[in-house]
Amino acid sequence: MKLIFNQLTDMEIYGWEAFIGDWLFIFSFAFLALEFLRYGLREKMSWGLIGDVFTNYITLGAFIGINYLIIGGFYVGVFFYVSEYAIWTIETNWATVAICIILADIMYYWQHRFAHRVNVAWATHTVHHSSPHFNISVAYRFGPLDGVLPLPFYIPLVLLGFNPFVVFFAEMFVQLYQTLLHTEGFGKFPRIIEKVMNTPSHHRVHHGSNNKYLDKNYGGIFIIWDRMFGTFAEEKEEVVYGLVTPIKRNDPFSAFFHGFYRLGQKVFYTKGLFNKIGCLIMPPGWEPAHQKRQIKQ
Amino acid sequence: MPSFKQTVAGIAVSTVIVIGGAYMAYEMPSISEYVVSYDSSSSNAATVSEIVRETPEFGDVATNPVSGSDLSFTIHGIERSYGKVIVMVYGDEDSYRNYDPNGLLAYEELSINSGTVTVSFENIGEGPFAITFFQDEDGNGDLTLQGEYPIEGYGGSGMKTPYSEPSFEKASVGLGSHNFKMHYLK
Ligand SMILES: [Zn+2]
Repeated sequence: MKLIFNQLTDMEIYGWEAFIGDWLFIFSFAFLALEFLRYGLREKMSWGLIGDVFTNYITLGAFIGINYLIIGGFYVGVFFYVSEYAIWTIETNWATVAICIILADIMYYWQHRFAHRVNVAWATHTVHHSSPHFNISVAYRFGPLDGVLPLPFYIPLVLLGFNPFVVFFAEMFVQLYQTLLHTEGFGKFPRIIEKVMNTPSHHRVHHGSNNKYLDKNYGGIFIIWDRMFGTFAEEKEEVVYGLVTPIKRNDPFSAFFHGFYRLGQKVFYTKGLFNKIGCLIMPPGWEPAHQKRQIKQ
Repeated sequence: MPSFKQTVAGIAVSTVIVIGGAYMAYEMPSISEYVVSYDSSSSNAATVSEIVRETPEFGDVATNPVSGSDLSFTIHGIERSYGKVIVMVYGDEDSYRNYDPNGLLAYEELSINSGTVTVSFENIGEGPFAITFFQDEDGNGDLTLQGEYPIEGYGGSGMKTPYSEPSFEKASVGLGSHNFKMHYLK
């Protein structure tokens, strides 16, 4: 008990965050090697797949670049600014960190659902979904503004009194758990786990373009939020990965910018200001009532 | 796809869980692993009526009952056992802003016995008060900096993070009992 309630300093939290994040990144390469072996054994190895892995890590590089240059400082600044107005002061120990992770997981659910159902947010998140494959390298495939999107969703946690460092840690922890779900290497876990936790099976569904699988399983660590809020689907038929309208080219540049390119096109060709705004804030498949043109996802 | 109603209900449920969870976390105090013996040489000036030293148990965060005419507070999260905690209470904005020793309403040096120290002041006036404190680990009587950053523990009323520099207004507290946190950058 004592250990759980021991006071932690900001630097300790930051240290753990860096430690877990870095080792998971290294682990992901080892895991990717195993996945390649598996693809090889099933004779699914192709240049397309290798190119996709390449694209995934290039988008990661671009994402880190953007975060480092623009978003990072802004994000930290906003958190510390907001923390001045926090209603409570919550101590930092492993017990409160654990609570923060659970709450961050709910916030992740809503942020993720928002990213799928509001077209302007989808323009960046679509990058992550544009790979026609599913392995751990896809977890590192990011869109240009994937780093800003979560900000408004985690501010409430800082406002309630969690230390900004703890909120960063919790966000990161949810993200890292998510990373581990990107694999075809595991079937299903025992039922009790599949009931409560998000698993590779549930997350494969999330990456499916099958009709039954669209807009399902937004969860981060726990799948219970999807079950509670009506967005859960079980993995039954074989998953077809990628977008409803697949990207034509899978090079890093096209993959990274296709979301905003498609959004820009849609806004440009839609007539009327209200309809243009609709293109930004409505779900991806939305079309103004009188327009017959079809652009999907 | 969930209906609009379901979505609104979902957001409402999530809000309740998040606020409830945060409140639970707020009710969980940290404890410190350092427990050193009580230093009887600690100064007990006339204004200090009571120095309570204890490690908080789970659940008892907030209030030690004190009479309404006292200013009392507990500093949580003391991680290192050396030195004394120096506490300063200001009653006006100018002295607070300039750290003016002549404008102090009260000054105390408290020895460290566990992860928390509690102090209460009688007959200190009506308030509002602004409080600052630091852990004088090297015993030089001052908060030691390395460059711009303190290398000793520090904190004060109205400080939500180690980087807060609250105004007198934001730092103000009234009579009664309060909880503050010691911050460490190093
Ligand atoms: Zn998604």
